[in-house]
Amino acid sequence: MLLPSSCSTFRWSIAENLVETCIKASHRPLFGDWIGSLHSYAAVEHEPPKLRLTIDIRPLPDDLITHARCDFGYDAAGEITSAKLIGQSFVGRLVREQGRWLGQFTIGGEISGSMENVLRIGLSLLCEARGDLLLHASAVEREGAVYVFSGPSGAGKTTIATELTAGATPVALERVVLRIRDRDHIEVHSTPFSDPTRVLLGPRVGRMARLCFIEQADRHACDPLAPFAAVQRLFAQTLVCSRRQGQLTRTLDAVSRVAETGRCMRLLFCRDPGFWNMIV
Amino acid sequence: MVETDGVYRINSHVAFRTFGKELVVVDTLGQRLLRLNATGALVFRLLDAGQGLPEVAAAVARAFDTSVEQARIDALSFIEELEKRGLVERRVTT
Repeated sequence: MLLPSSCSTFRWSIAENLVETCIKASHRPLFGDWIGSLHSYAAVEHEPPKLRLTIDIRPLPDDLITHARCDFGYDAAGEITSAKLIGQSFVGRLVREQGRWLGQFTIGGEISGSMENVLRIGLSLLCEARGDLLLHASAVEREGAVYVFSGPSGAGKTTIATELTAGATPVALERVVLRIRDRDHIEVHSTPFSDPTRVLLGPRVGRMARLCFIEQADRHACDPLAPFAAVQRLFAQTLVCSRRQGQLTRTLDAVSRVAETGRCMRLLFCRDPGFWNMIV
Repeated sequence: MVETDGVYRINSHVAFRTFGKELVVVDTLGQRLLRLNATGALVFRLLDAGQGLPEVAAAVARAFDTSVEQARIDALSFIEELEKRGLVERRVTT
């Protein structure tokens, strides 16, 4: 996918959040395949976007801080008003203005990973405002139901969603948005993150059947998680930026409602698809 | 040292939710998740409702069939622990 040398604007949606991304490039960068993924999420919408990001692609100074950091600014009530993001290959700022997030970023180095970071943090802020959860998880769709696999990096999320699907369709590889409709209805929304080989088929929404917290082992085993254990794991894998009690309570409420569904499991698995019999 | 007749408030970076008879408390500054048992949950909820130590002790004594004095000692110890962890702070009254 080649981009014009001046500017390219994408409007895309994740979990009903319209995002507009304007990419400016003074030279033709190596975008990788991620922009192609973003295109697959492109949406034609008439409402104003909730998140508008301008990404300026140019070489960064040599002395850029090497440790990724995210500093939030708060108003007197604890509401986030700005987010300053510094990474190995990007630096920028998100500012909230009239209910929308606007950002400007300078990016260099590895482009696709940098843009993912910028967009992921922006999306997490939107999710907190709505009471949704942006969960570190992959997901696959099987016979009309969505199975979510959560865990830290290296736990095997992508492996399950790409190599051990047993015929199921990958929905997300790295992050999913969970929206709680009611006790028995939790929607799983796909995101395009971490899909360099374009496994994903674009935006998908489905009803959550199981949420498995995965651990690699030499055998398969699956046990239901008690609500508090599920809350602990959910919080550990959800990005929470806010310090405001109201927003925190909303996030905790969402986490608790997911935990109380009885659909959260601890899944030990080895590298074969035999675990499916235990969770379907 | 905590004042024995003090009134406390839950800090703004703390959120909590009832979970059966227990309470889940999230502290985002300390990035901790705590689970309080039924007694701790009662004390925490009363503090959130603006009740002072005497009212908390009386409520705990009623709920758990113990003397007010013992309930006061236990509640104060628990509140001091919450204060050390930055979950509550003593409200300044003029």
